[in-house]
This record gives sequence, structure tokens and C-alpha cells, in this order.
Amino acid sequence: MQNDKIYFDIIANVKSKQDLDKLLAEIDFLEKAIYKTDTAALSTSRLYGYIKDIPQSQQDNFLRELRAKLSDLPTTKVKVPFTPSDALMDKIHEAVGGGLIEIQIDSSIVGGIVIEKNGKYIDLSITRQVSRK
Amino acid sequence: MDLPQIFLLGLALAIVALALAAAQLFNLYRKLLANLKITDHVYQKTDKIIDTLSDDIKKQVEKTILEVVQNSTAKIASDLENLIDHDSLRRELREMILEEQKKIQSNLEEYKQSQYEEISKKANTVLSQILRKAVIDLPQDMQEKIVLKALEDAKRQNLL
Repeated sequence: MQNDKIYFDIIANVKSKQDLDKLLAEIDFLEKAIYKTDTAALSTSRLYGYIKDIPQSQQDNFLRELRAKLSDLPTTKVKVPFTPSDALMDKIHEAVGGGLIEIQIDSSIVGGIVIEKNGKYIDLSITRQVSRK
Repeated sequence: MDLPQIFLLGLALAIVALALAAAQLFNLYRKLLANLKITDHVYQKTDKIIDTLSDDIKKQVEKTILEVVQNSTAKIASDLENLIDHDSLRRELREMILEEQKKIQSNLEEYKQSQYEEISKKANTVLSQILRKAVIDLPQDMQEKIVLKALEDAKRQNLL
């Protein structure tokens, strides 16, 4: 039960493909590091902060579960004409209902955003609004 | 000559004169009779001619009337036929003109529509280019605001 909250807290911070890649790299690192007693190396990992209270015998299992949950995350493709700030990423993440956001920088989009979610293509750009009128 | 001789001579002369006058009268009478006969003959001939002429005229008149009636009937029939032909021709022409008019109107509508679409497309392209220029020059925080506004609108419209 407590583990569920930890999973939730970890996954809530995974918003983009980059976040996911970073987390997967950390999982790789931890899977190898947890059996070592190099606490200095472990302390550099943010993820270790979440799992340090879990008994060491269960940590390996926890990380496997986490990897599985991450692979099940729904992905939403988002196209914007610029690299979004973290604040905007949070807003987009919230607007699309969570999951993983795959950002694509597309300079052809004028003023707005294009979202591809569950097979739906939602063009929220100004260009689209103009051509609709 | 003595008086009785002169009287007798005078009497004889008078008798001769009377005889001559009688002869002249007789001749005149004969001539008159002859003239009367001629006149009668002429009358008879004239009557005959008139009768003949009258028949001819009657026949001619009848013939002429018949011809006129026949010609008139033929002309009326021909005119009637022409009239009918003209009517049907007029009807066909009207239909053809209406058909052509419809085609022209339809072509015109298509042309107008295509022109309208073309203009609309061009207007959109120009507007998009202007917008692109305007938006590209905006600072990122302004562009992010536009994205946020688009997301809010999409949420309101249940697009997400």
C-alpha cells in the first residue's frame, strides 16, 4: 500500500520522454548499485530517496515493478513551435490527463499546440482556427 | 303651146313625180324592212352571244371561285402548318435556350464557387503568413500564453 504511494509520487514526476529516459537510466543505475554499499554513490540518485526506506531485499522487486508501470504509461504526442518551459509542461501534462508527453518541436505550427492522443488529432493552432473560419 | 297642153304636161309631170316619189318610198320601205331584219338577226345573234357569254362567265366565275377557295384553303392549311411548325420550333428553341441558360448558370455558380475557394485559400495563406510573422516575433512567454489559452478552450469544449 505504501509502495503504491511511492510509485505514484515517482510516476507523477515523469511527464516527458526525457523524464522517462532519465528515470530508466536511474533504475538501471540503482539495480546495479543497491547491492553495493557505496552509499555516497547511491545518495546522488533522487530515486534512491524514494526507495531507501524499503527493505533492501524488496528494492530490486520494487524497481522491476516500477519499470513495468512506466512501460504501461499512456503516451500523448504534443507538437509546439518552441521548447516549452517546465511550467507549460506541467499545464500540458495536466490538460491531457497525465501520462507521458512526447514533445515535438514543429516550427510550422503557428500560435498554439497540436495534440495526438488515443488516435485523435487535435489541432489547437491559430492557423487551424483561421482556416476553419 | 296652148293652156290645156301645158296643163296636161304639168299633170303628166306631176304623175311622174308622184310615181318617182312612190318608188322612192317603196325603196325606203324595203330598205327599212331589210334593216329591221338585220337588226333582228343582230339581236338574235347578240342574245345567243350573250347567252353563251353568260354561261362562260358563269363557268369562269365558278371556276375562279373554286380556284380561289382551293387556293385559299391550301394557303390556310399551309399557314396553319407553318404556324404549328413555328410553335413547336419556338417551344423547342425556348427549351434549348432554357437548357443553355441553366448550363450557363450552373457553370457560373461553379466558377464563382471555385473562385471563392481560390480567394479564400489565398486569403488564408496570406493571413497565415502574417500570423506566422507576428507570432514568431512574440516572446516565448506570450507564445506560451497562447498555448495555455488554446488548452483552456479545448478543455471547455471537451476536446481533450
